[in-house]
Amino acid sequence: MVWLWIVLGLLVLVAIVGVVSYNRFVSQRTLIRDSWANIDTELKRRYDLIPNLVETVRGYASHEREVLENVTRARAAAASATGSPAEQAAAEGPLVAALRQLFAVVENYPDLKANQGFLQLQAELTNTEDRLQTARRFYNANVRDFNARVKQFPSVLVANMFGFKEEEFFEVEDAVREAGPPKVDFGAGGSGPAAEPTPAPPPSGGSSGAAGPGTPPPPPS
Amino acid sequence: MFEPDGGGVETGWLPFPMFGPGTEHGVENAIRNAGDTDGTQVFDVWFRPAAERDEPGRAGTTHLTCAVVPLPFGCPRLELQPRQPGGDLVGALAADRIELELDGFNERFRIVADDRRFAVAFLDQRMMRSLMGLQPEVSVIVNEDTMLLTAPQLPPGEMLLLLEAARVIRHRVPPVVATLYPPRPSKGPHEDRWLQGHWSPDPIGDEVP
Repeated sequence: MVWLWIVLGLLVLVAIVGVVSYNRFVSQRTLIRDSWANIDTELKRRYDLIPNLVETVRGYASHEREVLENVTRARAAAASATGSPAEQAAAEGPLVAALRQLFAVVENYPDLKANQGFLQLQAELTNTEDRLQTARRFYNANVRDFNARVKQFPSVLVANMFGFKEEEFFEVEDAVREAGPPKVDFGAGGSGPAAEPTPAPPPSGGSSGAAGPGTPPPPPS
Repeated sequence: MFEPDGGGVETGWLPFPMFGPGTEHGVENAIRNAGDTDGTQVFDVWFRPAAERDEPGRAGTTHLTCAVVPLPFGCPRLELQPRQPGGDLVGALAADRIELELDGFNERFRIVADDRRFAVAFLDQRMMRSLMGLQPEVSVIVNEDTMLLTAPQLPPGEMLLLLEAARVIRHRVPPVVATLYPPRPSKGPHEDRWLQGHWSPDPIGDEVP
């Protein structure tokens, strides 16, 4: 009789663990969907900035028609892309390349680089790129946690039983980060914003036998 | 150049439990960098639960060295706790554990956050590498608009190293955090308006949006 109770208790325990694991899978999947929505928001924000950017550049460099059309075409293709995160990431690639080319062209037009409207758009685009990167990291972190649980024991049993499959990461090429708007350098005679102090290298680990925060970094220049 | 902070440290507004009403605490040896205007300070602090106030001696008193760094945004609580040398079984099994891209950082710190999104935004790779350069005993807490680095009480020379480390980390905070978590209005008479959801860009104006 005692053995019966023990077996019953174990079964109840297994059921509880199974329910908790299942609910956690559901929560994680919901979190992945929510974090994807953040990426989608930032991508749309980027798409909304591009037409103004193109028009501003066109005002100064109307003969750079091919570059401007490339950006417009790539933006339309990326904005209309649907499908898995991997497919949407692939659609972003040509847009990023086109933007990179556009900003390379802008370097040849000092008047455009000094235009307040352009500078504002550039700042907003930079901000959007940063937010997009943060949203991407958050999404990928959630996917990583979810995928780990799908493969780990004992949650793999629950995943197989209820059809939880690995999610796709949103991976973009390095060119996305490198293709961000170039930092404005006003040089010695410029009247731009004050430069951020150059951060010193991080402090290294403590010296042997000493309890403290370690070797201080050199002061910034 | 470092100088003693004759004005002391205003701990009343610091959003951390050790400075809260439930503890008795005192601040000593406050130091700041003479060239810095951002308010970064390092100081020694002792604190104990208020219930032990009437007990003889200072049994239960904790002595720490802290560095306070004001931040230009308002954020949820984030805590980086150094992991124990033998591993952290409880942390490894926790359902809400947060792990980021750098394995070395995950092995070094246990991340406890009220908002996972903020943890990811605050801890980019540059910040993670900076934090990994800290001494193993140093903990980091970020709450509202302040970052607090704590360590077991340090000798004076090591206090300056902690101050410098805090200054460096301050400059490694990702700029995007301020746009995702904008600063709250200044504390004081209008704080209740913020807490009631009546925040506006003009906290002293009469118009409520």
